[in-house]
Amino acid sequence: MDDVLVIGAGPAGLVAAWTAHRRGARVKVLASGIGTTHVMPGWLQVLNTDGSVEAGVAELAAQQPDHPYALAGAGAVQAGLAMLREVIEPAGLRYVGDITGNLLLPTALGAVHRAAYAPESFIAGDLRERGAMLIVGPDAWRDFYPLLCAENLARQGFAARGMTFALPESEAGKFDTTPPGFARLFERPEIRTRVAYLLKPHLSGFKRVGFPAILGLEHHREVWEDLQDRLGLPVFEIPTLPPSVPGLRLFAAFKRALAPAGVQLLLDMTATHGLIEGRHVTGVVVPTVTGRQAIYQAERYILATGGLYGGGVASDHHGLLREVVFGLPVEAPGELGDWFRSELLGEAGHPIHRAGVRANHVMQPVDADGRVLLENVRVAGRLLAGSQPTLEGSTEGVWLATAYRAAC
Amino acid sequence: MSETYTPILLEDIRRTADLCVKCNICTTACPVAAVTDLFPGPKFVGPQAQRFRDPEMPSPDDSLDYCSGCGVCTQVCPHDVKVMEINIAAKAELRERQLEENKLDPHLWRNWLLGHNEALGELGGWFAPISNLVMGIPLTRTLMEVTLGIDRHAPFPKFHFTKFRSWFFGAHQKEKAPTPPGAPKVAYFYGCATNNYEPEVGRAIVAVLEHNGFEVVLPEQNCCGLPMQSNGDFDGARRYANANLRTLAPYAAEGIPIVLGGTSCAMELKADYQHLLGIHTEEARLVAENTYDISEFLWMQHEAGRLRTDFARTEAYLPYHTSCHQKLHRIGRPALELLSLVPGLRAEEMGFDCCGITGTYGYKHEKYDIAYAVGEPLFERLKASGAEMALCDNETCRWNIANQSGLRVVHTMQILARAYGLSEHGL
Repeated sequence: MDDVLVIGAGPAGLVAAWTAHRRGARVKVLASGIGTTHVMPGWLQVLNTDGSVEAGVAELAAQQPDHPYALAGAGAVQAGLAMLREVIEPAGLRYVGDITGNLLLPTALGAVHRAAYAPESFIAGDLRERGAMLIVGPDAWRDFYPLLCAENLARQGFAARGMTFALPESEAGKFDTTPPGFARLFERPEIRTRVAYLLKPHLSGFKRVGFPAILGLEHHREVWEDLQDRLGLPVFEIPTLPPSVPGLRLFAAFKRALAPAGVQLLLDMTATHGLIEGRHVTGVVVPTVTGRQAIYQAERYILATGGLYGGGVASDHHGLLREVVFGLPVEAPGELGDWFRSELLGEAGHPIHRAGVRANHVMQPVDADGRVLLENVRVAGRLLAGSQPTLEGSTEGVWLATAYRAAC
Repeated sequence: MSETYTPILLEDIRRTADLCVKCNICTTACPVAAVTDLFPGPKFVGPQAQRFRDPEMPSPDDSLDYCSGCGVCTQVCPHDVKVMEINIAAKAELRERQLEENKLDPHLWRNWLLGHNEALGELGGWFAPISNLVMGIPLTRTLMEVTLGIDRHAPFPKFHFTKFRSWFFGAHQKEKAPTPPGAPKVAYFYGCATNNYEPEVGRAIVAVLEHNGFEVVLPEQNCCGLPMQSNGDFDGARRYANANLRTLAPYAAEGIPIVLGGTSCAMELKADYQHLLGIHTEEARLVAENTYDISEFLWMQHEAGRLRTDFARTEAYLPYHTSCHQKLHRIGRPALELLSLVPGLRAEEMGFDCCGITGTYGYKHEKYDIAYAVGEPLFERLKASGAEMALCDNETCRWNIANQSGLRVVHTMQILARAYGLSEHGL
């Protein structure tokens, strides 16, 4: 029997698994498939604020005692980040940033995004610096328009111009036109030599060059440093449409770290339900391909199955929301009709985005009165109620903080 | 095509194309798309192209011939799309069209031959010393490559004159300890590879089962059908499947578990007969429900407190590769769990998705380099591991990994047999 069974292989599940492993537990991860790593932009947002992120988090926690930040406690974001760094740094990946203030980073559409931490390869794009930017990308790629990005940045007062470069390899008949396909091309030195040659005559007057986040996968660091050398300017990456290359790099680093650590990462293993005795989970059921109801047991279960979008919460046409593995009650403001309210991503927030499972300060699931529902279960990540990640800019911060706390 | 093979609508894997949200997670994980521009990735030729497939129309994309069928796409999909299965079904349609267009295409003959590896092993075994000699001549392999497109570097196992089955009914019956009265029976489906090329794997499995008090019985059986299925010959695969179902169903009906050592053959019995070949019969269901991977079966015995753990201390470090098709069983890693019961033994999962060979794929000359590139990180890792022996529970993977890494690669049961002190049967 394992000590800890993590359900879900998104960022929260992976960080929780590593944290539990580092605390000496025998750990297994079960997941339906690959999770949010592959759709995350790559930066780590903790809170949308122009001031100190740390102070903002403390203030939010004080105002909203049910907020995941309040539950996870002070320092949990940094502790979760430390765990993430342990896994990714041996793979040559570094996160830079500071809990005292946000970086200002450009999106693919030229909008400005705040994030406390970002991959090292994003940092030269920090818009708090005023240096003129040349935004570049392969022509004939439908997923990234350097000119549009630059034009929108310029409209907001940031010195930016866009240009495209030819990349005939990407027009081959069967080329994988997703961002990882391009990232693999950039792993080839001759491609970088050619791209640098094409860009070099156009760099005068610019202080930095922005690429879509396709600068290598496995050898990302080498690719990025090589391009900076060849161009003689700082190079930064801008997140693309999914699949996210920076997210793939994270997932690959976890995969590489977990296997030698003896942590089995098992995909295509959907936990359909839990076996519950009183307030204790005695196992989770994962049907085999023949339908045999195989039971996986552990002392403790970390539920990191995601929210409504990640598949951890299901809804039905009666307006019922349900947590999918243990059937935990899902707290959601309003009723069925409210979920269909317009402006899903509006600045006022949306009721459906508040849906989640309530937890206490050790991340045990609780009912509306705060009574513990399942003693040996911990909830982590987007499944938790009480935050509005897109509105607050707290997506990755909540993953890190709650994953860390759930595994402690 | 008889009515039996019309998939039941709700069980039709092609229906799952509708669950695809086009996230491309499968494309990012596809080991083939990562190393060649000849294959655009599972989403494009799978759920995407599926919308344009009409039984009366040509397949919209021939590049699906480059799908190796490893199934990593199906495993990583968070939305339960049966991506690989959609591709394999489409491959069968593609082959039918190719047959209509050019029956003499040497690749179709090559694929036919690879699909009939049961017959090859049988035939080669009759003349074992000669056939091994002939296959060992470089000219033979060069000719095979030029005429048929079977790559000269692909691993060919040695033929054996004495088949596993003959050993079992011959020498073994004389040697073995008397079966304890009331011993529970286990039906062993050994598959062509064990019967013809690696009888030692079969002997280890029999030894481990008998050591645990089971009576091993060998049902009549033939090739599981996978080589034909993955080469697009669904009718041929169904003939094999139906013959196996006829002989296996009576065991299943009696509640006798059917165990397999080969993880790919096991997927046929467990799922593909029904979901890919569309054999929705009571027999197929019964056989599937009573079929187990050997490690899965033994781990279930352990969980029920019925597995003997009188393992000798075995100081060894063994890298373990989980075959791509084993992952499709959705049984976790029972082999690793079993190996963890052996004192002193440290088995480490290598964590790579696929070794590249995927059955007969890597034998094909035009795909050999792709298969090698897929497996290369695994081979390099194994070479750097310092180990002399590695573990893998699927046949062609084992041969491929041994061929490319230089390590000896054995089945988990060979190690367990040795740890039980049954090595005369195993290694």
